[in-house]
Amino acid sequence: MAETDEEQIEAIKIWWAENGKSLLLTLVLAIGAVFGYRAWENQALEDAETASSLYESMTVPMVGEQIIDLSAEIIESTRSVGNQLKIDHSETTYAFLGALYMAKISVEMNDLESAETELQWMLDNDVEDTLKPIVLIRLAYVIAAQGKLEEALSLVSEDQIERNVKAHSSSWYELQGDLYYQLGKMEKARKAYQRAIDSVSEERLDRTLLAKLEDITYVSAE
Amino acid sequence: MSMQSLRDGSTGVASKILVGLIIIVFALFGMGSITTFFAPTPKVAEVNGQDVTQVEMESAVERSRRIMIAQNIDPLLIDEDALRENVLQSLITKELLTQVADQWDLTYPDLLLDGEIRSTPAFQIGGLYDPKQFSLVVGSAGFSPQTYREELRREKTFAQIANAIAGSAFLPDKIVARIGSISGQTRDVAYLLIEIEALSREVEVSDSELRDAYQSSLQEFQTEETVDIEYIELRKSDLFERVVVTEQDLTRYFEETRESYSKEEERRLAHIFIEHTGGENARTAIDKIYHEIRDGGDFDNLARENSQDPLSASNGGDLGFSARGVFSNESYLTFEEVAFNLEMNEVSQPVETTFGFHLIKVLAIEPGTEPTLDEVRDSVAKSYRQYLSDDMFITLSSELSELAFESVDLKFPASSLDLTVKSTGPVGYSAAEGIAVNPEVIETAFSKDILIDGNNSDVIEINTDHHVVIRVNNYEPSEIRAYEEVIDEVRNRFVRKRAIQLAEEQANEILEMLEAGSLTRYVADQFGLGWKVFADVKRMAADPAQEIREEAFSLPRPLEGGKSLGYASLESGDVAVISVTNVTNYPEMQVSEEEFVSLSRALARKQGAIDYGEFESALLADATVKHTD
Repeated sequence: MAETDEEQIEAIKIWWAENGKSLLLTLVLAIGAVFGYRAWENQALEDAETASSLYESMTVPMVGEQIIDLSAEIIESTRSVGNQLKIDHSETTYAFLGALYMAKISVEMNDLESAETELQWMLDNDVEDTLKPIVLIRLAYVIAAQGKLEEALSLVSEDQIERNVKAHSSSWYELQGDLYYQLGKMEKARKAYQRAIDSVSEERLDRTLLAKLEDITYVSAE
Repeated sequence: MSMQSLRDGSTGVASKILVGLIIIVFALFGMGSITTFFAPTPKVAEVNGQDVTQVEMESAVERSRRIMIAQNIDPLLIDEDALRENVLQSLITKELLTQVADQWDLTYPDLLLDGEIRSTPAFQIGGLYDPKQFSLVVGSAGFSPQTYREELRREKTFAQIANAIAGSAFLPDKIVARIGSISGQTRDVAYLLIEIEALSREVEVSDSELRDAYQSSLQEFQTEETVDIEYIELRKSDLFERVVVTEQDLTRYFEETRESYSKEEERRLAHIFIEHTGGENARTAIDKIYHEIRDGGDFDNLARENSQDPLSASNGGDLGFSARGVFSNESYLTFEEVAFNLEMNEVSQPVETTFGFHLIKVLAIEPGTEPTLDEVRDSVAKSYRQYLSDDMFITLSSELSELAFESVDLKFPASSLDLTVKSTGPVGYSAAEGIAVNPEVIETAFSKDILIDGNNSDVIEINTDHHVVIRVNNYEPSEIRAYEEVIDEVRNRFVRKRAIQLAEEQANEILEMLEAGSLTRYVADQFGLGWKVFADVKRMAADPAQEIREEAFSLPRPLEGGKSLGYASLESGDVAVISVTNVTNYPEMQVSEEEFVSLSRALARKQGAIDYGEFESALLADATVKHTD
């Protein structure tokens, strides 16, 4: 133990001679790391901010508005913003959020193939797990609307449900029901609708879903 | 690891670097990063390892309570447990959404955030955004300007998530068309109503059956335990007339509060504004306008053409009436000084503020007023009485509390304070009127201290203006009412139950006959009933009654030319035998383009809500949520 001030100063000098270099080196490394990280973070934030502004600008005309009243001009600009998000900001989630709107616009314009492309693009680019169920179901609807019913069914198979559904599988079974209905397989459609009804609580049960089942339930012929 | 052992071992380069790193972390990020780590704050739940803190919980509960009260909900009727549970659920959802927003790297740019804040009417004065007003308003909701901005930013990213999922939902035309056709479906419905009133007359019941029925449902005949509550109540409104007001007091009070009766001078101001752009451009522009006005130019027109305050320009620069103090924050100080020294209709020289240059004109002056006591006597007297009774209320309440504590009954405290002892009569937990409605009052009445030990209670706050002290006079335990006392009730219940049974048996008999092919008319005659027939009933029709209609629509579709049968037990006890024939879906061709579009929008919106609901449920199902009590 050092006892006087002078001895203490001496001890610090010795410690500095032994350790000074490695301390300086550490300082340089650490400061470099911190500033490097901050610069990277700033860059990422700027990217996200631009993407966020672009996304806001493309949803504004569509939230609470009627798309059919939108001019060709607005549709064109919405599409170009969506594409810009996909090309210039593909690293951000906004590219996916924009794609969801691109799909909607395409369906509204009766351009089912473009809608399919948008949704498929999201799956091909590893869309976030939380969004995947929504994308899969919408993709299946779009594919079915083009008459490819069997292909659509494979997207909402038991296997897919097990892999992607965390809470409610109601929408999936309802879609299965819709597809079997269109295929004319009424028995399977009834079963699917019944499962859709069973997998949702009574207060959340949608009357439309119930009506779809009631519509195809007949008195049994004896 | 202690610091000593760390130093002892600090010979290797690695550990030297480690020690160095710790020092640098302190230097760059501050001690806070370490202290918060060592002193955990109390939490109410943990969501995926992130805390929902007690502090957040309490302030959120308080905020919801304030909102409910602002919506005129009686604070007494707010169920505390339910409120807390709701708030906790919403905080958990918020935390989950925060995590999603972070994972997705969502953000809301400052530029948009500023625009949002500046265009919020609540943060504006005279149509202009005012930073002081902003911090005042958010302050009253418990935010600082900075925390408010961050909260708003967070809300905006939540909205981005919700919009992305709900706003982008759609349904293909084929599905829409089918739903349109189903929801327009019509059914031909006929029913026979079997009424229990007639059947009840046929029910025969023996005394022993009634006794059995009584025995098997004893708890339904149990009376509530009750207490007679004696109480002294203190109401602020009663004190209003009790306070004594002398002319002298009133004069003094008026002198003290004079300011609130006088009105300051108000001026209707207009301005032409040119924003700073750097350099001398703004100065040159404003000088040019100033000279035009000096040369007889019209202020109103020049404001419309040149002013860069977009909100006032279209009104000729008009900012409306304001008093001193509105423009008194630092940036506007000179503005106010000039504006309040101008003559009527005079236009100022260019005035420079932080934002740019202004030319100010006075459009109207409403001089201030200083009323005398006689002019405002009534309202001064009222507010003085209010003030005195507030004071008296607090004093009396604390005296009441002390006296009640010291006394063995309520008579003495009441007479000492010139109040009266009142009584509720027998009341229990289900009391529907009087002070016993208050849960704290009734719980106190049944507490050991009051009920068993016979003490006076402490002061109970019914609300801030209404305090009571209670004691219990008489206790009646819960008991099972004697058979003789309730025999009518027992009989009525028994008969009704049997009648419903008979009705359902009859319904089944009828259904069997119909299914076996008996003619509908014949069956009805057999039971003395008549069919009520409704053609082309829609799901949302007014007739027949909802209970019957719903059952009719949930029956399976009849085969071509056949019927579909079932029955519904109605709320009234009556039973309806239902027959459905002829089900027709609404032809898709007949849906007009317009109807189709609006149906499609509505269904897409509904689908969006469902999608978002499932998204939130999935987040919750996938999260680890720990509740701490």
